[in-house]
Amino acid sequence: MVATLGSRRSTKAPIRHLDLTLLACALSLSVLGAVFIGSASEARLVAEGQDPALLFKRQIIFLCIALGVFVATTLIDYRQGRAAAPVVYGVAILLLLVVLTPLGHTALGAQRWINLGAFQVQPSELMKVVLIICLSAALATERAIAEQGPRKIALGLGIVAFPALLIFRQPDLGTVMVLLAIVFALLLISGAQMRWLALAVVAGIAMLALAVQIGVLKEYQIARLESFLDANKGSSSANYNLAQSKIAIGSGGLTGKGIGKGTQTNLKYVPSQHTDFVFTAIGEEWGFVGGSLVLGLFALLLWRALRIALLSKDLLGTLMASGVAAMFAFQIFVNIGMTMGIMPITGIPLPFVSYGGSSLITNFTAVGILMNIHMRRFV
Amino acid sequence: MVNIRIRLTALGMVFVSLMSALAVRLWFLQVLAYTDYANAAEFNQVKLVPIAPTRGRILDRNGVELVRNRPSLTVSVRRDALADRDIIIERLVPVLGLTAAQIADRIDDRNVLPYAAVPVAEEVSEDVVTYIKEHQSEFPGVVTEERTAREYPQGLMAAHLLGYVGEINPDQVKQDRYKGYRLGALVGKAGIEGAYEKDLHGKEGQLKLEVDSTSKVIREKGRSEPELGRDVVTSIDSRIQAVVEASLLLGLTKARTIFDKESQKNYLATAGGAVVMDPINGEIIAMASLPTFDPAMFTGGISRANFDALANDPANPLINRVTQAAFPPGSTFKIVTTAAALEDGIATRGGKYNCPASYRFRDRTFRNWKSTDSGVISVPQALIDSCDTVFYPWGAEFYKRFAAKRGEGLQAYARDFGFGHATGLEIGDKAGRVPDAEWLKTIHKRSPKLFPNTVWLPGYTINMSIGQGDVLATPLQVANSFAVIANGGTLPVPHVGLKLMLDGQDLGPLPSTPPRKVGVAQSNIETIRRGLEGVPTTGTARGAFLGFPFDRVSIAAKTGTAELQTRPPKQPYSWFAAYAPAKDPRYVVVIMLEEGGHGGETAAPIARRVIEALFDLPLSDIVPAARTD
Repeated sequence: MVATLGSRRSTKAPIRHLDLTLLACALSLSVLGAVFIGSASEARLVAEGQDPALLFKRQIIFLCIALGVFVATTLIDYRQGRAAAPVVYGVAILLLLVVLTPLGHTALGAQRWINLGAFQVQPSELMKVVLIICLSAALATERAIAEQGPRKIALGLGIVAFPALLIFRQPDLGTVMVLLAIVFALLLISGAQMRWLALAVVAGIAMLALAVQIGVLKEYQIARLESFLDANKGSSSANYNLAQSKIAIGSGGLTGKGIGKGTQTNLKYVPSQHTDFVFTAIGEEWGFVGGSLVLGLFALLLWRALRIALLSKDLLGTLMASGVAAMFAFQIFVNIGMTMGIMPITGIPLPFVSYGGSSLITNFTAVGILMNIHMRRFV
Repeated sequence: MVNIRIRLTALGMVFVSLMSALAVRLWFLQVLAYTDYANAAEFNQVKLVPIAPTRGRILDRNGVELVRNRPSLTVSVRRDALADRDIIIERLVPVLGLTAAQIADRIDDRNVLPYAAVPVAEEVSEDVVTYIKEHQSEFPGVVTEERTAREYPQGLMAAHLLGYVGEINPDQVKQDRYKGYRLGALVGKAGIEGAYEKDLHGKEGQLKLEVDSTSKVIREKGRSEPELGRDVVTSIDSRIQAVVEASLLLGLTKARTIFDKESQKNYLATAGGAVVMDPINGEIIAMASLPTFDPAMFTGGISRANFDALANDPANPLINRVTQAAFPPGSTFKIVTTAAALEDGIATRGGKYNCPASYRFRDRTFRNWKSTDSGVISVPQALIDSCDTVFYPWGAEFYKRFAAKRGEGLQAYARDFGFGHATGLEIGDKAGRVPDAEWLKTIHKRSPKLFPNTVWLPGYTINMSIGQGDVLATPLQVANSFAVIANGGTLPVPHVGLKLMLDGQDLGPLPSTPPRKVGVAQSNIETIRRGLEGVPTTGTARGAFLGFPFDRVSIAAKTGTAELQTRPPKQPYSWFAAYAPAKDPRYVVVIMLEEGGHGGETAAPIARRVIEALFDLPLSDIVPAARTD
């Protein structure tokens, strides 16, 4: 008892090791996101005769829920994740299966959601965090540490395979790619041999090429890829989206047109602007200054994540933190890169900024995990 | 555990490079390529809708309106505001009296920009406009507008000269001449409307609209008002024009009552042209062509069926017989042969020449139009009687000189008198043809069947001396050649535009090209004038001018009867060219009737009536005169 009491007061107490920079980054990005979601959706909502601030308000509600989840995540020691992993994994798989049943909710041609009345839950978002926890747990076992070769790779791919297949069926190629990026990062950090990692990447690219060839991919997915590789090819709608997205960002110039003054934004030229293309609203209305600010906040966030991975007391924490960092980095690069035409168009949301409750909750859970590791690096 | 630090560092470096790539790309888009994207955004949101300018009027020399604009009530549709297209079309059907398919067709007009109103029905009544305005809630997206349409207060008057307007065609839009025009713009297509398009058109105004991604108009951002088109004041005298047209019609009608012994039927008199010109400065006072068309048919867009009917009519009503049709000039060409022969020393002013019934050159016989021998006559008398056999030997002499490689003298004078090339009239005209050895080679290559010969034969020059054979001239060219005699030796450039006006303000005279000196000595011109002066009083046009008050207005003239070497043979083409007063000419008048008989017989009476109008004399009835050359 004495020891417990002493430790609570000691410099090792978790509450004394909050990473406030990390939290500030996540919060700033979320609030900024909500503001631009409001700006990007206002004209559409007015046209539909709805409350112009509807999506802004909903995103703020989502943020409050996400903060609750964040707090909850920090309370349970991340090392409990080792024991909880099989259960969490099972539940997540179950939810993904439910999505594909008639209980699933279809929108924009994909069945990605479970309908809960007022809100829809997107289990594939949660799957990202679940994968980080479960794969980190699996790779942090003594047996896994000893293994450096193909078996380690097989372990990683084995865990991701089934959820990835279920998500691919929705279809949601973007999330599948996020999952694969997480697997890659975790295998890398956990010490997999480089030649086997390289082989896995080559195999992955070959499979993607095969998927295009045998027609597993949907037509619009191929069109987006084509329009990315060659602007003269691809469907006109994919080209149009990309062109309008670039015009929105480019026309923002150095300082932007001001919030609510973006013409591309107000005149609804950019599709899905409050979700996947929200960065275009920032680029247009806040210009290079605002865009750089957002990139800077993300860079800070990634740095904090990697720092936590480095400071972690154990391998489990290092792996979890690296997984979170990889998930954010991949989504940030693919999403912003897509709006600027250096990545193909995929349905990957921008962490913290894009509209959507599931995504926001997932991201704050991930931040919670990071905070959790940081807090407990001395206990 | 040692390599975890390295691997984390590696991951960190990957992150750094990814974020740097985004930052660099962001810099490129927003800073380096900013201008392009800013323009693209502007182009996206701002759409320019043209506001059609009001076209200038066309006036006669005294300010009488020949073409003006009138308001035309138009029902248009704004496609971006058309909520339920099919229902609206259904509702418009009974109001406009059009079928649903017709309305849908108009709405889908691809020439109209997506956010501009598409006219669906023009020239609707006030009632239709009132009805739509009162029931506007039933017609969302339907607007009524007051547009302008071309109006012709003088009816069919001078239709060919005025021309018509129509929507610019896709080929024209690409031409330099129509730079700045957009598809769907109204342009002058022919005549003065075409020639003075730039002045008449005015400048389009622009409506700046902000539109969203669905082409829905959000608001008006600004507008620039269109500039009024300039009025063109022409040299036409509408009073004379009316007489010329009426006389030509009357003359053609009368000609159709005359029985032609050669063809064993009445003259067909299918078409005719008439022109009155100032011989000093080339101003066109009147120009008529029959059959004609109603320029109002082109207002608001001529229907395909109507246009095809005009274009495929065998009588070619769209062709201006004064400028766009060339025929053998017949004996009116003898002024050129006379001038050429006198200048080149083939004939002399005081010379006496035989006028037998026929002339023989080598193995060919060339007949006079009269079958009797008229004895020995002077040069003026040869013109008065139009004695072909006086001119044939002159033609033969020109041929001999050509054969001796001394050039083609007759052709050179013909060109000097304005034949073989366009006169320069603003509305454009045909070049006609002055045939020569070079031309024969070319035409033989092109159509060896029609022109089997490659060698220039003597008969060609001999026939040309009386305006027959392959020489072709427009009535305007004939008028111009008579102007040379009338004004004492210069070839004017015919023109119809006098000056431009804007909003009642005079913008000064239009530039005119000075006349060109023709290489004929004054004394030779005098000889020709003496001949022409005798034609209406004692010569081939004597019959047509019986009872004409020559003491008040003296006239110099020449008749012509052209034979066309066609199969089946055509009836003769009737020509009459005159200038008056003979001593101090103010007007040249040329009349031409296709298959209308002989010059003195049918064309001269029309010219007489025109001259009477020009000098305020009482108008005579048109009475066919004796059959002369």
